[in-house]
Amino acid sequence: MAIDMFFTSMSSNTISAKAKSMYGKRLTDANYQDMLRRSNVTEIAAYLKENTAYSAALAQVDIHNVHRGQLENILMRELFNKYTKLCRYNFTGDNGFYGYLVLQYEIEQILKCILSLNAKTMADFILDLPAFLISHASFDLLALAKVRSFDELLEVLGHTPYREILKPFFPKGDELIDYSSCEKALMTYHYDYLLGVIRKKFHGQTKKDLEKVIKVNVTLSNLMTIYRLKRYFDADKADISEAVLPFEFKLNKNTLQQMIEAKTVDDFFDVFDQCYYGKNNKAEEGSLGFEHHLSQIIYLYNKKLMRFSTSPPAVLYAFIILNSTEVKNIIKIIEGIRYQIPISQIQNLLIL
Amino acid sequence: MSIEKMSLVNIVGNIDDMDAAMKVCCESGCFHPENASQYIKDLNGGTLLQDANPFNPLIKRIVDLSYKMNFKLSYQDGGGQNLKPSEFDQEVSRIETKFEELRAEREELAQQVNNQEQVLIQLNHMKGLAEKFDDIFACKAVSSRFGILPNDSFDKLKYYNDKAFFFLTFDVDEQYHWGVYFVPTVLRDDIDEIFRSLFFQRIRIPDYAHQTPDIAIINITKMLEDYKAELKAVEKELKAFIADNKTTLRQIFTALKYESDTFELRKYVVVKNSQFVLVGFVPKRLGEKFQEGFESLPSCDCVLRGVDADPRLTPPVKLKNNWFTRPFEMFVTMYGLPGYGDFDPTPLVAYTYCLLFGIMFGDLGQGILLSIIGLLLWHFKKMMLGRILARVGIFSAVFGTVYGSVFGLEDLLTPFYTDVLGLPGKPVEVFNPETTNMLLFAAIGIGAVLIIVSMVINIILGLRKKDFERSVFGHNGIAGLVFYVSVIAAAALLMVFNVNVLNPLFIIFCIALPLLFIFLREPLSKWASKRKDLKPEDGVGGFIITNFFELFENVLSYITNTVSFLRVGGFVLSHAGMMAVVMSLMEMIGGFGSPIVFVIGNLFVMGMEGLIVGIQVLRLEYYEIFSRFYEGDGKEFCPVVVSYKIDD
Repeated sequence: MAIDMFFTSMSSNTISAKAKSMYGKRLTDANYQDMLRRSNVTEIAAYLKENTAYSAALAQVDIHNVHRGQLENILMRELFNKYTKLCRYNFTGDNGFYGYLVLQYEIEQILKCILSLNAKTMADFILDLPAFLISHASFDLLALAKVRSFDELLEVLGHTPYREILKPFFPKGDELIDYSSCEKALMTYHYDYLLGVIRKKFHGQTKKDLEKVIKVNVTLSNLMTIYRLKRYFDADKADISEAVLPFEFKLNKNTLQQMIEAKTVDDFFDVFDQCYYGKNNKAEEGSLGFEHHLSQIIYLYNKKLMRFSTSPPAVLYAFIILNSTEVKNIIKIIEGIRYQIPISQIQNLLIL
Repeated sequence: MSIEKMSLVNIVGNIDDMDAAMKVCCESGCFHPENASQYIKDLNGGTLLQDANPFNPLIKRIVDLSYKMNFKLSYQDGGGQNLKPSEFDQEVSRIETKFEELRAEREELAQQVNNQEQVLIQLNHMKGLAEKFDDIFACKAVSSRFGILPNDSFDKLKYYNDKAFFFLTFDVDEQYHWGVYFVPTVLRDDIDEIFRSLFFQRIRIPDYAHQTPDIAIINITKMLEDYKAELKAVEKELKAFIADNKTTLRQIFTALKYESDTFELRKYVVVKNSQFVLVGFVPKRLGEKFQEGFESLPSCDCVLRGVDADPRLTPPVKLKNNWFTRPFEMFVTMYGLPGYGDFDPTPLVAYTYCLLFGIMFGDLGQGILLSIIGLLLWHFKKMMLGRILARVGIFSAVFGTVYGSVFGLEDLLTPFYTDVLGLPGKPVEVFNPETTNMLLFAAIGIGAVLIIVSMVINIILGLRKKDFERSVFGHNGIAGLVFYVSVIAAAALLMVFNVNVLNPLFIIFCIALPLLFIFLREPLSKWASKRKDLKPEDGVGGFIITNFFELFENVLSYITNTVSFLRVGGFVLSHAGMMAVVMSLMEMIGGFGSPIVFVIGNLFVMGMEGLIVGIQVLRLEYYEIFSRFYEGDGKEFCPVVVSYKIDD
């Protein structure tokens, strides 16, 4: 028993040490500056290959002919590889938590599928499908790419919990699938599942850190949803309430309700500025500033957790978020350079 | 060893000479500009210059070009002497165009080389194929496409099982499947589209690859060599081009940066009726020399005034210290600069830091090594910390000699003391139990002296500013000093000479009365300043409660701050203890391994303990000494200079 505990603790700490060592190889400000000065995808790929920790992932890649989409796939696969590599150090057996990224990606693919079904663009679904997920997913992803109706979608999801979750949203006649409700149901399941596992399988600081990081992420994601629905869709409070996920951290229900009920975006900002997450909000109205501000909070929170947490699963969770932010930053630079956006503008979009 | 005396400078002149005047300011390297917006009112109007810097776009182009050409921009003497400023743009454009041409040529050739290499790899994967390419390409009903397919995309091919094509893999590596797909010619466009979207990179088997792969390999290898030779030639040309032109670019950059940084000074200027006004500070000793710079500009009037001529302006602070204490300005600046006219604590920091570090990290060998490392860091890396290490290392060596410790060998110097100096042994035997107590008491003694010195400095500074609360009645003023010295003296006399001075008179005048003064410092200082608002703002009740707790905290801080210096003695023991562990490890390992343990152990102790001691001494400086008298609210002296560094 004692030996078991020793190995459990050692393996978990290995995850933490390994994640921190991987984090040490992250891109620096200087790397981003150098990339911003490149003039095309080939030069960025060459830079990543020659000067960064992505060199191993790009070693065999023909950078002269690499396509933007292919480069993005490689970066996404590398992120997933890092995740599986870290999970390999978990010798404690599957306690339900370490598969969280696969769960997240599966839900993303199902939601993409629903969007494509509504837009009747399922023929292109296969192109964006992350191939690295095929062998890890709990259902047949290639079959998912072939579905052409909600009925077929449920059939592919056959034995998974997703089927029962989505079943109530079967569209009537020629109606479109209710994407928002599907999204809310799946995301609620995702967070319910994760928080449930955390409550059952972890304790002490690990439990506290994990609950906090997940709730911070989902709370900020809720704020992003409210803002977008208000700003771009002029949605009423009933629709917004419907879209908000039932989790919050350091944001009482009353404040959340005030944000939902705010008549204008300005009113929303007035409430937001007073809340825990609104401190130092310098986001400019009428721009992507606010969304950037929220992403920045998520990034900084996870960065802090990465540095100071001693809980291996929390470190893993934070590391994956930080690394995916890095990948998103690279993708923003690639797209920015492709569309010839001025360097200063691309720079403002980066989460650093 | 003080704060540099400043003079206020007013520069007024005709706007035609404004740029020349600003150049004089920049070149002097000693002019600290002040925002002149507050003078608009004095001038009954006037405008601030807010023109965009016209030199920035061209500087940005040069910086971008330098990144592409992979060289660093820096100051280059002769700033564009061969070129007129009007020709800068043209010259940069010429270099840009030619560079882009050569780069494009290089890229094209590199692409060709890459293509040929890909073909060769493809052909190598097909070695042994008996079919001739002519035969494969001659098929009319079936089209073939050679190339590489990312592994991710290969996994997706199953999705297209119902499509009429098949992919034949020759080889697989970490990223790609190398192969060919065959498709009925009538369906070719649709299938090509699918493969394109799966990032299939087609490798075109050249027309000249007529025969079998083995023969084609020979032909293409030769062609590849030709391309490589061409590429090498272009790369050589490009390298030569960069080498030829980087001096010109640096010269233009130098000239432009000079103009640009001078132009930036405009934001401090107020203009009215074709006259400009510029205000700032210069060190007093350089004032006349600074004025001389304007002699060639007859329309400009440069007037030196007293530093306090304009009470709206806070004079900037430039520390002036000797060669020994100067590096320690870094520690003072980290805390905050002293106000102009305040006390510069740099010399106090320098000597106390060296002394405390030396005591806590006493080792002759490690001290000398630390000094050498410090000198090397300063010489090669220009690290200010290196200069500090060089100084503290010497003190460490001196105290190491007193402790008789050389790289942890505690008895190496004993013969020197016994045989040469004729002493009974080392002056300080750290491991002797009697010495331990002596070390700890000495540490507290040093702490008490430093705290008393800090209080005396505070009293002098307070009296100079006529701040009676600070100098007389405060807990770091005369009242606090009397209380602290009395308690320390009473304790010392009782413990060392067994003399008890705690009689009623002593207690009343040296302990109770100072405490009462500290308690009533606010009304007493107001009374001393002849102010009439003696009644506490928060009422008598609030005053008593607040001051009671403050007094309690003050008395507690006298104790904790003094005891805090115990760490000085503690580290003497800890250093000796850690080195004793290294020596024990050496004995345990023995033989060939012990010198390695000795070296690694010494390096480890030096690195770890050196760092900890460095931080602990700094902590003592900031918390126990600075907090008693230092405010650190000064404004840094920032003269305008032309910077040839590149900012991202």
